[in-house]
Formats: sequence, structure tokens, C-alpha cells
Amino acid sequence: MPLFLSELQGWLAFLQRSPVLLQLLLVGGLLLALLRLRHGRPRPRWRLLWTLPLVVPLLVGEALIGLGLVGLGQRAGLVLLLGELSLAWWLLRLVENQVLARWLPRQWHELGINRLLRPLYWIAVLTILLDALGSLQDLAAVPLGVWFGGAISLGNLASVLVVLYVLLVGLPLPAAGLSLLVQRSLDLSEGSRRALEQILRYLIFTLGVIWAMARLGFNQTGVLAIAGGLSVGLGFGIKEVFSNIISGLWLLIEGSVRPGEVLMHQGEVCEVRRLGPRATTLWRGSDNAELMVPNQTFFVTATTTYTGTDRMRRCSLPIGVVRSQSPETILALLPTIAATHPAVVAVPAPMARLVEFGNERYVYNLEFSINDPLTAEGVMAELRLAICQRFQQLGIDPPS
Amino acid sequence: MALLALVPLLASCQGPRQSLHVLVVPTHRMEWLRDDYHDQRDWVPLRREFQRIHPEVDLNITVAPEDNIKESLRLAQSRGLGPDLLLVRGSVAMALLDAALVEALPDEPEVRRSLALVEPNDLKRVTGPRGVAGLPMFSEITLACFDRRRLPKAPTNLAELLAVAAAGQPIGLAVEPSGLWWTAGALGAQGALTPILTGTPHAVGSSATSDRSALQAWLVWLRQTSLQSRVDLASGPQDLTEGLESGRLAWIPCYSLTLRRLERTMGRHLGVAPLPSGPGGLPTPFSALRVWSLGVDSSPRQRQLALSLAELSLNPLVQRQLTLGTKMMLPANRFVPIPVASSGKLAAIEQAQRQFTQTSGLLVSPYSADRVQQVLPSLEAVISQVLVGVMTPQQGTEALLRLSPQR
Repeated sequence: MPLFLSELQGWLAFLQRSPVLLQLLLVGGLLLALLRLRHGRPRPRWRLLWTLPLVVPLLVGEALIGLGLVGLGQRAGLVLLLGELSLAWWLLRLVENQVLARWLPRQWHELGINRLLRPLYWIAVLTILLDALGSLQDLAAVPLGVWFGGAISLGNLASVLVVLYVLLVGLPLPAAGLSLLVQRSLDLSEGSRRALEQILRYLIFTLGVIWAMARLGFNQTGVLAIAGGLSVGLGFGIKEVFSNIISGLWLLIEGSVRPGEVLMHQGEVCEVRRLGPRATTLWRGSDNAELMVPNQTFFVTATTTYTGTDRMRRCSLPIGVVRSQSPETILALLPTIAATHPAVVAVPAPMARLVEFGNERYVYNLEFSINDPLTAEGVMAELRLAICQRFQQLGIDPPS
Repeated sequence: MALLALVPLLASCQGPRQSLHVLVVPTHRMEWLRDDYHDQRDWVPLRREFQRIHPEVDLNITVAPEDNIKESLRLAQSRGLGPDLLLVRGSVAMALLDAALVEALPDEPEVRRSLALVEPNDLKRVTGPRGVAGLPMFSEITLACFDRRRLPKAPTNLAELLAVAAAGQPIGLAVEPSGLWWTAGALGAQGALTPILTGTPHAVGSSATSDRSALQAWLVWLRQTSLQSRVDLASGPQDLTEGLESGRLAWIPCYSLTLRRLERTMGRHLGVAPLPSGPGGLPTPFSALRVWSLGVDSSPRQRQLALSLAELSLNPLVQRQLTLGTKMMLPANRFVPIPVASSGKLAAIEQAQRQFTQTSGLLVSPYSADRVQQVLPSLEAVISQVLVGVMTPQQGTEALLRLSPQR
């Protein structure tokens, strides 16, 4: 901190120089004037100011200021530098709007632009400004101490943090692309593709962490010793977190719970959306809710899945019919009604069973299979309606 | 950028504290010692004394390589962000003054008083038609460094040096001209080589024939030495220093600047001595004069502070403390005696400096680093080709003479 304050003090000293102050005041004044104009009521004579992005008039103004200063024999390098940064920002926006917005799927916009490109732009701006104000190399060499046997410098730490950030935020895109490529060439299922994508992300990020530790010069023996010591504490303290991470990895490798799988959770059919390091995200169709279920839940409890070997689900619909109706008629009728529904598969064929004798009604079970387990509730509702209508046509009392 | 508008406000809020931007430019091929150049301990005596006089001023020290110093200064100055003060080699200061990238020292009574403290020969090295390019602060010089575990004492002449190699102790020689410069004096070729390197006129009394035979004798010795299996030819000072540190080499020519690092890694096993003499006379160590040059962007107050720091660095007490503290800086103040009795290293440095003043008459004439930078690659190419046998010493001599300025 004292070093940073001393550096800051040094940069402020540049402001005592009239050429520096003049350049900054002119660009700062231009920016303020443009902002003020843009926030006011649009004027017909200046309509271009409202239609073009702010950076365009700023760039033009900076160019004019630079030319004016050079014409007057003054320094203009700082204006030029700020102009270059403005130009880079404009180009970035162009790439975002004209290229990425068209070519990148919508779900990747937030990730690619807000979390990756713009932070990288600002990191580059910071680096360029630091280099202009002093020596980036000297700043990078500032020692931060010795961690795990490695002498850490500010530059080392900053570069490692940037790379890890890029890996963490930017990995989903190439991992998804690569897994898609593998899926197409090896004809993998969607679930396998998603599992592969997750494994790629974990793998590359782990390699990144190992690279970061090597780059920082961490003593591996020291790290292992400390990790050994910490593991006792972790065992008692945050064992649930580690248990979930290990469970998640195991489930991915085993392939029992993968993104895209459909399984039963708390009596409801859910689709696995994402298998994260700590928790699995499930989507519940009945109320469009996303459930965050700790990974170890699937690891330590029995789980019903409809997509283990195939995606077919066998459904069972209980129906009560008045005793006066002949069971043979009902047992023959119900499968024919089910067979007419387009979602019900022909093989295995729908079938009905008589499962209970009541005082007033016999209870039948209509069993049928569908290909999409998530649509079971909807298909059953439609079949109930079809049964009611058919019973009505045949003069049979409505079912219960 | 919206913050830009707040910048003048910030400037006015900074209070009475000020900063002085000092740019330290390491000698060519010595950038790998960046950490040593940046070592704050070196600056303690000067910083302490300066802050006693100007408690409101912080020194902001940065390091930039000599190779592209002109380009980086031009860029910084186009923005108005150039340094207030530069610590550079004298010849580089001359080149920067010619390019209007530094300002000549002002003709003021305080500056004149400081210049009077400097050895006239040193002053001559940084004085040109545009004025004095910088105020000398200290000198760096080439010496011999050796491993005491392998050599009880340093060889004093070339014959002893080759005998050491023949006895099985590996010695290192640099291929680059400034690292080999000392051999030119020991073999009598210094008078012929200096005009080639610096572009300065030939010495009075020398002739083309005498220059040719001197150069040829030098190249023949280099070629014969390179044929010895225990003579390691290194690309530069870094390679040599690392060779001595690792035990691969027992004796190397070294720069006084590397002493701190060698002392750190070798401790009491490091031996330091003047370079060996030869049949041609004393060796010609390469001496680099470090001078303070004034930046062109400073405000009047910053210029005043920069001059104050440069003048203070010649203060006898500060010079003595710097010399004793670093044991690698030779004071530029001629009235400051070098405390040779207390340090063998300083005694060796002082002796090397004496050899330089006795033998390198032509090098003390002012010359521009631009000429040296321009001719060094050609010179190095010729030396390398002779050392590896691509050229004969005779062919090498002719190639060197082609680089020589017209008589």
C-alpha cells in the first residue's frame, strides 16, 4: 500500500507540468461537454451527436485537439494515447454489435462480452496507462513476499490472476465448441456431450491452477505438506463442500447424473440442467423451478432415473369404473384409447389391469409407455380427458 | 475517462508533497542486473541526505534499458511524461543531448561549483559543442573476478592466465568487444582499436602499418587462445558471471557492477583483482562514467529539485558512503579518496581505474554512444569469426581496418 501511494504521488507530480495538464484538461473538457450535450434535449443542427455512439464525436474531437496542439508546437502524445484507447473501445463495440451479436448464440453474449471482452479491454487500458506513467516492468517486479517457497512479485501475481480469470470465465465457450465437435465426429448423445464439456472445463482449469502454482514458483513439497495439514481441518470444517466436489466429479465420470438426464427428485420428474462443482441444477417442469441439489445427495441416496439406458418412461394411470360395467369391456377399451394418443408408443403396447375391487367401483390401471419422460404428466392429463369423452360416447358412467 | 475532468482537482489536492522522477539506465548488456540497479539500498545515503534537505519530495526511481532509450524517451516526451533526471553512461548522455532528448547542464554558479569537483578528464568525456551532457556521479570498470577455491591468487599477466588454463582451470573470455577491450591494451592494439570503436581521430604518431601489425598481433593471440580447451568463449557478461557462480569457470573478466551479485552468490570465495597485463603493456579496462542528465519535460520546480539531487550526489560524504556501501562505485568527486585500505575489492577497482586513466587516453575524449552502437555489431562479428576460424587473423585485420575512420 505505501508503495502504491508513493507511485500515485509520483503520477500526480506529472500534473505540475503544463503540457500534461493542458492535454488532460482539453480531453476532459471535451468529454464533459459531450456528456452534457447528450443529456440535454436533442437539437436538429447537432442530431449526429445523438445518433452516433458517444465515442465517435469523442474521437473526432481528440483528433482535432491533437492536430491543434501539434500545430501550436505543443505536446500531443497524451491526447493521441487517449484517442487510441477511444478508438480501441469503438472497435470493441463494433465487434460486439456487428460480429458477436450475430454469430454468437444469445446465451453466450453475457459471458463473451460482459465477462470476458470488456474486462480484458479494461485490463489492457490499465496496463497501457501504467506503462505510460512509469515503468510497468518495475511495477511488475515489486516483491509481495515469499509464499510456499516462491518469491511472489506483483507482475507474477497479476498475470496468474488474469489467466485464471480468463480460464474460469472464458472456458465454457471453447469447451462447448470442442465437445460439440467430438459429439459430431463420434456420434455421442447430448448427455455425453455435456458431460464431456464439464470434464474439459475441470481438466483445463485444473491444468491452469497447476501452471499458476508453477509460475508463482510454489514449492510443491511445501504445498503438499500444508495441504496435508489442512486436510485434517477441512475434514471437520468444510467437509461437505469437498464431499460435494468429489461427488460431482464421480457422477460426471460415472455418467449416472449428467446434464440432460431426467430423474425423479422428491416425487417430481426433473431434468438435470447443470452439474456444478458443488451442486446439481435440476429443472422442474411443473412450476418451471430450478432446484440446486447438493451433489452428494445423488451419491448417497437411491435415485430413480428415466434416462439410464433409454429415455422411455412407463406410466401408470389409475381409473375407477362403476361395477355395472363388464371388466372385459373396460380392459379391452382402455388400451385402445391410449393407443390413439400420438405420444404413446406402440411397443411395448399399452395395457390395462384390474387392480382393486371396491364397493361401488372397480379400479383399473392403464399402463403405457412414452419416449419423453418429462411429458408424462401432460400425456396422462390428455388421456384422462380422452377416456372421459370415450366413456361418454359409449354411455358409461364417468370414471373416478 | 470521465475521471479525466477530476484530474486537475486531484492535482490541487495532493498537498505540498512532490515527486522527482529519476530514470536509471543500465549499461548495455547489463540489463539482467536490473534488480541490482533498482536496489533501494544503493540509494539510501543519497535519498536520506536529499530528504533531509527536501523532506516534501519523494524520489520515484524507475529502470529502463539502454538499447531503446531514445525511442522510449521520445515517446514519453511526446506526452510530456519524460523523467526529470536520468542516470546514464556518459557516451549515452552525449548521444541523448545530440538528439535533444536531454538538456545540457545550465551555466549556473552551483552547477559550475559541482563541475569543479569532477576530474577534468571525466568532464571532457561528457562535454560537447552543445554543452555538458551530464554531471558525473561515479564510474564502473572492468576487473578480473576469480574463484578463490580454485585459484589462490589472480594471474597478473597473460602468460600466467594461459598457464592457469593449461593447468586445467577453465577461464572465460567474452566475444563482445567491450568485454575483450582489456586485452587490446595488454597486446598493444588499443591505439588502433579506439578510433574504430569511437570514431575519434587516430593518435599522433600512429601509422597505418603500425595499426595493422598491432591489430593482427591481437587477433592472432585471440585465435590461439580460443584454441585452448580450457578457454570458454562466452556471449557476454551474464554468461561469464553465471559460469563463475556455478563453478564452470575459475576466472573471468567482470564489471564492477556484477560484484554485488557475485558477492551474494559466492561470498568469501569471490576474488577480485585488476586485469592481467601483457607484452604490449598494461591492460585497458573499460570504464563507464555514469552521469546525471536533465530531462526536458520538468517544470521549473522539478528542474530545480533535479539539479539539487545531482549536485548532492557529489557531496563528499554521500560519495564516500555510496562507495563504501556498494563497493562497486568509484566516486566521481576527485577530492574523495577511495578507502582502499579497508577493502581489497575497492583497492582492485581503484587500481583498474588508474590503469584506465594511464592507458585509455583516446577513450577519455568525448564520443557518442551512437557511433559505438553502430560499429559494435560489425566489430563483434569480425572478432567472432576470427575466434571460430571462419576468418584468419589477417583477414580479420583487414576487416577491422575497413571500419576505421579515414586518417
